[in-house]
Amino acid sequence: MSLFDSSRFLRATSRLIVAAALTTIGMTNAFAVPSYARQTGDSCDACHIGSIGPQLTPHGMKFKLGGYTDTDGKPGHIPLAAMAIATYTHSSSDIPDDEVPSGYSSNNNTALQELSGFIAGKWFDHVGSFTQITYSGVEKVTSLDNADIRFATTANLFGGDATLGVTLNNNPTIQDPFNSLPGWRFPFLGSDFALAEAPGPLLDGGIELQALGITAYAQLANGIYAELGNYSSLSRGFLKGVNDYSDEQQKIDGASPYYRIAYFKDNKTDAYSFGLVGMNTKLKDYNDSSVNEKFNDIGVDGNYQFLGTRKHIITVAGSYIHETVKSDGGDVKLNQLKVSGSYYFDKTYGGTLGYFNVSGDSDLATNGMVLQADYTPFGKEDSYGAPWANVRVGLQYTMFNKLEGDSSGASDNNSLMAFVWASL
Amino acid sequence: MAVACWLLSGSAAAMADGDAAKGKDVFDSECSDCHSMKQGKNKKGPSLFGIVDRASASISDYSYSDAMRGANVTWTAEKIDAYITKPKEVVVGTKMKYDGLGNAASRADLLAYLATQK
Repeated sequence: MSLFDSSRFLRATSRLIVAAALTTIGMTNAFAVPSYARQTGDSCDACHIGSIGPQLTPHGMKFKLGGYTDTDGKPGHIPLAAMAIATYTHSSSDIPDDEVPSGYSSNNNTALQELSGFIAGKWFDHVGSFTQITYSGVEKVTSLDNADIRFATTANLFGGDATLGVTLNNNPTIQDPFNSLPGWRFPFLGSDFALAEAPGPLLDGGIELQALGITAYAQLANGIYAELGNYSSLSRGFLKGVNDYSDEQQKIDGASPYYRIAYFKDNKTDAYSFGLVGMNTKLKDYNDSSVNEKFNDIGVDGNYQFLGTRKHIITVAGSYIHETVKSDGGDVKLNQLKVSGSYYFDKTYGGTLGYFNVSGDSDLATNGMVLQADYTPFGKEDSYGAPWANVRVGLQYTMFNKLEGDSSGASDNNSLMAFVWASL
Repeated sequence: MAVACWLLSGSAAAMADGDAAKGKDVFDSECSDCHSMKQGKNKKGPSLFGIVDRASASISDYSYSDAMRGANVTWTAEKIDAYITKPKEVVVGTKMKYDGLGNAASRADLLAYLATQK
C-alpha cells in the first residue's frame, strides 16, 4: 500500500499530491504462496528470508526472474494458493469518529484484515504468474490486488547464461526482485487501522493497481540487471469492475517510462545488490483535462544478505527516492529514505528494525521507526504441513517522531499491531 | 591423459582430507535450497542421500533432464568432484542451475559429508 494514501495526509497537503495518492483499499504487500513450494518441491525457506513472505533469498530472486516457472519436473501442479491475515491494533489515540470503519471501534480493533487467493505458479513452459485477489475485511471489498504475469527464457549473452523476460504488472516496482524498492520491502505488513502513514513518492504505490505496465528485463551472468518499460492507466470501466475506484483518481497521460539498472551478486554464503530506478509520469484528471501534474521519480537502492549456513541470517536493505512534482501550482520536492535491517535465527525467529525519513517541502517532513518481532514455526523442509501450510505470528510497533512537519503530537499516531499470517 | 590422472589423484587426496562437519556447512550454503539429504525427499533436485557411488538418474520418482538420463555414470567421489566444479561442462544440458564450486577444499569437505550420508 502506498505511503501516499493516508487520508489524513491528503487533507494536510496540496491537491496535486492528492492526485497521486488515491489508490485502492488498504492492501498490504504481504504474500505467501505455498503453490510455489508445491511446484518446485523446495521448502518456503529456500526462497524467503524467515521462511515466509515477500523478502526473497537469492534463490527466490532467481525463481521470480525465471518467470515463476521452475518445477520439480512432475506434472499436475495447480498454481493456486490462499492467504489470511488477522490483526489486532492498538493506537496511542483513538480513530476520529467520522473515520472509524463500519463495524469497528475507535481503538483496539481485531480484524480479518486480508483474505487472498492467488494464481501463482507456472502456466506454460516459459510463462508464470503471481496474481492476487484480495478481500479486505476492514473495507469489505474484494478486488484485484498485485498482479505480475511473466514470460522468461534463457540465452547465452556476452559469453554467459542470461535470463531474459517480460512482465505485465499493475504496480511499478512489484516486479523487482531485490527487496529494496517500494513494491516489496519492510514493513511487508501494516495495519488498516493505522492513524497515519508517511507520505511517499508516486513510485511508492501512487498508481498501484490502477496502472498496467509492460517491461522487459535481462539478468546477465556478470551480475547486471537491466529493465525498461512503460505504464499506462487501466480503464475506468476495468477499475470499477474488478478494482476499487474513486472519482478522485487520476489517469496517466501519455507514456510513463520505467527504468531500472542494478548489479546483483550471489556468493551463496552472502549476496548483495545495488542499483538505480526511475519513472516519469504525467497524471491528469479523468474529468478535467486542464489539471495535470508531472512526477519525476529517481532513486538508488541496495540490499545485503548474510546467509551463511542459514542458521543465522542478517539482512540490510534500503532505498532513497527523490521526487519532483511539477504543476501549474508550482513545484513540490520530496525525498524518501527507507532502511531496514533484520536478523533471523534458524529461519524461524526474526526481528526487524526499519527507519523511514521523508524530507523536502516542510509540510512533508516525517520520520519514525518500525520494529517487528515474529515467529514462523513452519516453512522448512521438515515442517508440519509442508508444503501445504505456513504461518507467521508477530508483533509490530510503528512510531512517529515527526509527522507532516510537526513533531508535537506525532507520537499520538503510534500503533501496536499483533498479527497472524497464514497460507495454504 | 596424464594430466587428467594427476588431477583425479589430486582430488582424491583432497577428499581424503575433507572435513565432514565443514562439509555439512557447505551443503547447507551451496546445495540445500534444491537438494534434501533425506532419503526419498526430492526437491527441485533429487535427494542426495546415498549419492556417492550411486548410478546417475537412478531415482525412479525424480524427473531428470534428458542430458542426465543419458550421462550413464556412477557418481564416484571423483565424478561428483568434477561435476560440482563445472556442472554445465561435465553434463552438457543439465537442468541444474548451479555455476559450480571453485574452492577445492570446500568440495573435499562436501564430499566427505556426502560420503557419510548413506
